[in-house]
Amino acid sequence: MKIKIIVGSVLIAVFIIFGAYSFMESNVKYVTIEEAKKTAKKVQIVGEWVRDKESYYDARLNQFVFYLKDDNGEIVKVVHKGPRPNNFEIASHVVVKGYYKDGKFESQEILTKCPSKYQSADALKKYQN
Amino acid sequence: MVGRILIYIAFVSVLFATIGYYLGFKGRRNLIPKARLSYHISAVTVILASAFLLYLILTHQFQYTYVWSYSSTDLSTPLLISTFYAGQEGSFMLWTFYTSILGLFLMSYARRNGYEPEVMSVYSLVKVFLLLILIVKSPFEYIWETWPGQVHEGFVPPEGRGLNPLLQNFWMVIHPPIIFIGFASMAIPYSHAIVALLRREYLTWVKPAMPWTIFASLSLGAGLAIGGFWAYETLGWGGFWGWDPVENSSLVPWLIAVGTIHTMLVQKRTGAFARWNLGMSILAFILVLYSTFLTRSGILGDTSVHSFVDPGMWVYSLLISIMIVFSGIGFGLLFARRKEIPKVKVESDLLSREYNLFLASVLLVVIAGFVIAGTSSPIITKILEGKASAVDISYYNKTTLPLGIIMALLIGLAQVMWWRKTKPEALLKTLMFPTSASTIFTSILIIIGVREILMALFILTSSFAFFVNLRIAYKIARGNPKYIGASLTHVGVGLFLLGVIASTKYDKSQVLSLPKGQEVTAFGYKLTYIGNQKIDKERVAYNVKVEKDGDSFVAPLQMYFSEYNQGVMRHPYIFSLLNYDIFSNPKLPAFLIKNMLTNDLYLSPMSLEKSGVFNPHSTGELIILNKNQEKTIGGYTLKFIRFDMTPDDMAKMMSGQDFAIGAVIEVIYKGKKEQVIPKIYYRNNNPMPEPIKIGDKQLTFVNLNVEGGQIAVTFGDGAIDSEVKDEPTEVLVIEASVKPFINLVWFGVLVILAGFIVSMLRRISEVRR
Repeated sequence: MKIKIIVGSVLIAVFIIFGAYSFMESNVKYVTIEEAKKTAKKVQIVGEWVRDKESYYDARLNQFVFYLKDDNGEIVKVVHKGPRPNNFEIASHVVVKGYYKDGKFESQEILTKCPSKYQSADALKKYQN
Repeated sequence: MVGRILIYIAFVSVLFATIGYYLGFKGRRNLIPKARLSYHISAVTVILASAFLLYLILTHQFQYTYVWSYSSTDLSTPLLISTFYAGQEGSFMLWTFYTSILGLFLMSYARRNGYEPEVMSVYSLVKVFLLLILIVKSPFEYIWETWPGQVHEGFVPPEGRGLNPLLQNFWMVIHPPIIFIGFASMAIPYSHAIVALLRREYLTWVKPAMPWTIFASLSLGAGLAIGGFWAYETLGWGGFWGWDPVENSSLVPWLIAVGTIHTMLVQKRTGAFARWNLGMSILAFILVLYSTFLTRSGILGDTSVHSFVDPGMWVYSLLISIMIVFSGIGFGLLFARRKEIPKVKVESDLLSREYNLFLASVLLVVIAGFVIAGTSSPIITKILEGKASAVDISYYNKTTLPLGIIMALLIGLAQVMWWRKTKPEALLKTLMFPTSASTIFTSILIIIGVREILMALFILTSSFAFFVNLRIAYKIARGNPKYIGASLTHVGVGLFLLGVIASTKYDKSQVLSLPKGQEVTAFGYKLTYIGNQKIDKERVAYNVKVEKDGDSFVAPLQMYFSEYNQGVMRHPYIFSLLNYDIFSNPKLPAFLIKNMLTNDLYLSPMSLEKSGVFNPHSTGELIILNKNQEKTIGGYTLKFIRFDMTPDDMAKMMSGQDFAIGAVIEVIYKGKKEQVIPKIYYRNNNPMPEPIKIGDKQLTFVNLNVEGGQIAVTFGDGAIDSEVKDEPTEVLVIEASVKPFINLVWFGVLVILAGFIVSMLRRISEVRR
């Protein structure tokens, strides 16, 4: 019976360490552009789309290119694998997930955050004189 | 007012029922009929309140915030009904509705089995809290109550805000109603566990609790399956599972409930694992509450693609209190009684069914633990690091893969074990066929091209699980099919796992540019983009002709700007056996059976481009112009005067249609002043600038910032002139992918659910005996 308890606790410990390790590994941290440049890990950056710089979708490479400015005012070129995301034009801020590599941020996922004006009474106002 | 009054009556009467039943259990038996009557009153008022809400929706009473927020006059009746549960308030209403009705069944079931006051006092308490949520967050609130001061009293908007187009399909009509049966019924195993602790009858409770546990797993499982199919078929996730918090939060309680079924089986037979089963039954319900908290409290905030609406302080605190109350009652009682719960010695032989069933239960808990830890990662990181961030999808795949391999192995082994002890010789004999069959199967796949060790192992154990159970199912089917439930379910799990491996690990995908009218070949299919057309006031279909072996079909891929979501919606088109165009196109079934038996062809639209017009690299140097500011480039002076937009274009922009915006620019060249208006055309939300010639140069308006009064133009030497003069062609960019053996996933799920139904019927008949 003793052996079983030992084997059981070792197994549980292994699972917990394995889980905690995977958790740390896969946890995608929010960083600034400056920090993103220093790490080879997958990270995410919150920022604003720099509208006066070029932004286009390249159909051949299936890449969407734009510039992102973070809260510190630093600007980075983002190359996103995929089409222009939904809500991109009206997004108040954009979150990109990926890696910084060779002078640009290679994004795998973009989340766009929109001002939720539709939740408020504003949308109702058009019906009232 | 009617709705609110009904909710209050329901709340007060169910509160009375709870107290009455509890006192009845404590000895005041004369209160039981009164408690029963109160419960009936509350059930009837909840049903009336639900009917009233449905009536408000169907008659478009937009003065109610909830009705205004989720419905509109242009929805079809089934979709209109589905707006009942499109928002938080309504989905809590649906949950309460199911809880009320299930409670009536539970009442007569428990009455027959002699524990009505006990179980109903616990169960009614769940309903008390659900109704409390409905009081705090009422679906019957008027708009002027929601936004006091902003909307005047008595105002009825002529139109509602409408239903999110993502939700406007058949699956929305059936998915939530099934999921919420699962959520509501999970309170029943919980109530049984609490009753066992209250009555100090730790051994016998599993027998009546088992059919309910299976029922809860069945309905939650069916809900999960439909959700997965929805994601695959309409939402365009590209797969059936995205490890999204909303999905995970139903998966986790399901895993726990399924784990409980395994050890309940042992307890029913031998009396072992009483404490484990009590804990698990409590946990499954607590996890339903925790999931609700995760997805309804807004705590996940910005970390997911789903938008989680912040329901406000009151609901947030209420959701936390509910979790505390029910885990306090459950785990508190379990802790207090832990010493007196009898410990039946478990048959601890490694080769016994008892031991393997327990392992299965533990394994499911471990998987659930990893999933819930990942789903809670924004909370965990918030506590540890001060800033919430979610784990990557890879976390789930990484952690569940090794566990999945072990699980599949156990599914195979546990089924051939005998109770108490299995003779190794007998075991070897029964395992001969499945072991060799799965080894041969895996070897063939390795030869074909499976190269990763973990994948090969997963295929080996999954096919092993399949073959073992297939053999048993076959034997049982020839004997007494009533007992086929467990092996049928596990045959399904084997098929499901093989389908998951094939379709997610070995899918192939390609991004294709389809110029209008030109044929492009991919995966053996000839694809041609033939043009687009409007389907309704918003939706646009981009038709792609798909040809193979002389058969050709048109696939309408949908992509449009949704006003509701303020964004581009993309819906895939899938050639699969489950394609429902077979009803309208008699030639389609033969084509699908010929080509789609082993592979689905999944076509998703990505964007519509115009070739030959716009390439920011080739149109020249980028220049930023502020309003009324002059800039001189090579003898040309440019001055941005104002934006040019017709009211018609403005209206089109507001309604999400194609529109154009121009910039009035004053150009001075060799003393000559000239005004030009280069334009950007927005087609399907894609900007397509058209250049203008000035002298020997070419001016292109490429980007704008309305608030800043800024524009970006390019000014080049017009080297691409010749290209521009060509009629620009539309290029549809799509992602084409093939999903091998995805049908195994759907078929496997159906087999699993069928197995659940058979098992449930068997356990119900055992209770009756």
